[in-house]
Amino acid sequence: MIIRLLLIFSICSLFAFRATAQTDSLLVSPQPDTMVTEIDTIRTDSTINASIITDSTQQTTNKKPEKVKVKVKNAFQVFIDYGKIITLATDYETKYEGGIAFQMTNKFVLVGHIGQAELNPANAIKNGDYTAKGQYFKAGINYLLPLDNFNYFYVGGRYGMATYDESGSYEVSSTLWPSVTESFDRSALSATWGEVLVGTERKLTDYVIVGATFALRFMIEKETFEPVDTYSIPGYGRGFDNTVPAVNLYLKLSL
Amino acid sequence: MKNLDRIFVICIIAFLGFLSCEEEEIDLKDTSPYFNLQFRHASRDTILGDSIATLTATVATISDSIQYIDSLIESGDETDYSIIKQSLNDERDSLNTLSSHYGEIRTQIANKDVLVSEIRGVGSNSEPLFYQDSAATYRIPLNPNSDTSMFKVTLSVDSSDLTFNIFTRYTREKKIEQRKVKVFAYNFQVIKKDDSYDSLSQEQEDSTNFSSNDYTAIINF
Repeated sequence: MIIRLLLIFSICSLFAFRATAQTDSLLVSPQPDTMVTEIDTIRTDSTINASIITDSTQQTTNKKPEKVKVKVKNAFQVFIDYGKIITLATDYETKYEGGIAFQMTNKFVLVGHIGQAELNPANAIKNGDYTAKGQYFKAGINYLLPLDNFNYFYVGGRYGMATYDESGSYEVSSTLWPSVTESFDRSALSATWGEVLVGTERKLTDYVIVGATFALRFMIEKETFEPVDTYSIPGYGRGFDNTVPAVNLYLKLSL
Repeated sequence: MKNLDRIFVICIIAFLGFLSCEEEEIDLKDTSPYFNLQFRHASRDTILGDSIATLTATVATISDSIQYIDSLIESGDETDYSIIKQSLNDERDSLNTLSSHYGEIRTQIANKDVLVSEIRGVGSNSEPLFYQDSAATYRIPLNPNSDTSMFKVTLSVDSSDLTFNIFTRYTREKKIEQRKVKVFAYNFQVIKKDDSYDSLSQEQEDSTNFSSNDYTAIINF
């Protein structure tokens, strides 16, 4: 319990730190890499506007807003899904996910994820217990839609694959007859799925980016079982749904 | 407003923390198959019906006699009929009371309310089921370990016990329903194997799988 509280406290601290960093980033003047070196997309930079408005000389307030050209650099990036770290505070799942990405000047980003999960969903079998444990990887591509040099939207797609084991047991009870207790243990299972996603990213510094993704996952292939089918697939979610929505929160380091 | 997103995320974390402290209990309710059982005391109903008819006829005869005595008195007969008349009135009241009592019993039979005092699973070491209150329908649990179940059902009727042997046959199937693994009994039949009751009527609402949960057996005795 104390470990959980400490963990929750540390995650809250992380958010507080992130919020401070965001506030700081609004105060700094435009950074060198936001200068025009290549014409991609012409947009209005809200940060620059903010600094113009707060300028004490008030000489430029009547000027037409300056248009900023957005530059997308080649960059190798690594990221972790900090949303999944929150699951350490729960009894019913433990998940880790991270990955690498390569951002190209043509706004395409090649992305690879790797993750591990142990899932003990409480309601998988109400008259028993259930555990799924395994690894997964996802590979795909994003296309960036920059708002300015600090804020991006993107759309993308992924192909995911998981290998996992699952086990469980259940009890059928009678008031007059002996109960039935049975268990199952399945190993080396696999599943594949596809994802379409939209996401947003914000640069906190030149090297640190936070982002969030909303994805719709579509099951391509998985094994089915009777009477208890796979309930949870690591990296995918509820195995008995052919379409699953998902949200991911991540922290990215741009190298 | 600026802090709204942070407050939202912190609330989610706190909620997850709260959830993690909650203990989920295993819910075993309604996981095994059952069938519904009713009793109809048909022979008793017939006897009571005949008795009430006889009583009604007797009351009518007594009423005629009282009416005849009244007509004699009105026509000037000075004989003292008071003792005979009182006796007839008492007799009529007594028969009416008895007829009402029989009527109440018939209503009870029509409502199918009976008191099953004990249900025992034959071949099971588990404790039998005991009941204190009468009911129209009893839910009888089937053996989830076997494709047959046999029961000894004891009924309390007028301070005496009647015991019926009920034999059932079915095909078991395990299914997950509302996230519970349940055993269902399909192709369900109650088979009359002895003369412990007169006849068997049945109502089956599931015409596809003949599920026991949708089956009502009516034991006529």
